[in-house]
Amino acid sequence: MADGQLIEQQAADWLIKEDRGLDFRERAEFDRWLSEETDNRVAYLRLKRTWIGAGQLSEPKNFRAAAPRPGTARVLRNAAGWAIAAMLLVTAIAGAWRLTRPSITTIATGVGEQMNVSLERGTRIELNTNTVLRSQVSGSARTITMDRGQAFFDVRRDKARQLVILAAGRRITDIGTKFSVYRNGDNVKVVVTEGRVRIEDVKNLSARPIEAGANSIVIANGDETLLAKMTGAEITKELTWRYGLLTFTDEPLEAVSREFNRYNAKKMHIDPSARDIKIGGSFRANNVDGFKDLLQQVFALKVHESSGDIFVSK
Amino acid sequence: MDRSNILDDWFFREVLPLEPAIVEYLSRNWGSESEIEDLRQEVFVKVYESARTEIPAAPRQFVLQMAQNILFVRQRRNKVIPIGSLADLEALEPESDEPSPERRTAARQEVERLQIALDNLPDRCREVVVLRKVRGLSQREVARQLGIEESTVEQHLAKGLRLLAQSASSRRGTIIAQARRYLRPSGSTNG
Repeated sequence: MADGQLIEQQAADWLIKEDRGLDFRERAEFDRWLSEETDNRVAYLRLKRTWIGAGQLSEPKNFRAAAPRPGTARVLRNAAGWAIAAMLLVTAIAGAWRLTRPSITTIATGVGEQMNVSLERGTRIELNTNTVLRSQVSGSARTITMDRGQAFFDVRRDKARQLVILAAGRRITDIGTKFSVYRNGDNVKVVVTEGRVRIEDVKNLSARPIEAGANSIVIANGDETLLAKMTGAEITKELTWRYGLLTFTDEPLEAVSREFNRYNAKKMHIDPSARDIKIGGSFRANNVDGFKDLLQQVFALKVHESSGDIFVSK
Repeated sequence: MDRSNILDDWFFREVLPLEPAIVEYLSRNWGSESEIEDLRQEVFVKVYESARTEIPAAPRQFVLQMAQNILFVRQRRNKVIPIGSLADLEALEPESDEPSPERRTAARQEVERLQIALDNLPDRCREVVVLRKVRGLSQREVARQLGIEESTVEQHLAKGLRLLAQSASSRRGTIIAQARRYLRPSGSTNG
């Protein structure tokens, strides 16, 4: 009896740790624990079923949680970041005040940070790592200028005020929808999950705009714009960053390292000898050390750290 | 590795949903209530281990047969007389192993049981579980929102999870009372 309780407690602890994310050392320890005794495995599977089942539950009646904060940051945020997030909400609400002063608000995340921001009427923005957005409201439109980074927009249609996003010479207008925008230098990538968005070249507004529907990706650079239809699975993969995950299917290590570097102060440098090694799988965006271990253990690459960065070669 | 994944998967889909039936059978045929949890775990372990050699075609029948065997062995060892007849396996509605409306009903009941257990969790524990599992915040976000340590969030989740899992052993009707009894503050519960 006491034994059973102990095993169940261990199983619960492991499952919660797994949910939070295991590093390589913990993963190995967990695997060892699982295969040690059938008792352990069975206790774990039983709790796992409950854990998954709990995802289908609804909030208890009269449930009151601490009020969600408007800019719930997923990763460490400094006080200034909070102030900015709070300010955005204030400017969004204080309509009267806005009439007398133009309101430009900057929302930004640092490397490795993510942040959710709520605007009026249920529109939500999820900022990914290292992103700068400037928001300006004028009568009939809210214009968000993306200086850099990536954000997911969940837009409630609002006839009185349209949402317009400007990124590297592209104007993206929602038609009541969910989509993400990634700006990397002059490159803009728009991923549409629901509804439709219109994408225009600001320098050439007389040209026919591109309208992208659900499950499509638009890539724009300079004068060129490419529209591609994707499967639901491919779209999902494009958006796993919203859950703090990076997902790759057979992508060269060079490209994979660039993705990790967006999220981590500790940068990866890949020697030309290892650049083309193909990587697949899902990884925690902030777990660059775990990924490093994987390269060492599974791909048998040479890895060394120096002045806070990671160097990888064959 | 593959083999154990198939086994895990089978166990997950076919055996774990039978927990209420197993517990009902054990309670009906074993006098000592404090041993039921232990027996249930023994059934799970034995079923898993024998499925290593061959995955049984009719899980429900197999699992209840296993429960019966375990009681027989224990009975002989303890030299105790059971409260019911161990032969009354048939008394449990002979549900087929085919996917069926009964199965869907069972799945719905499982969720209902979990919901009641969730509603009855201790306040802080429930808050943490709802934020993580219903609202979908990460553990870190939950900690931030509630202004508590991440390690505290982990503790609440582990405790909540065990209490929710307990709901599968509760029989319909007595479930709320059982949850309450289980939740009564004791020395070992924290928060």
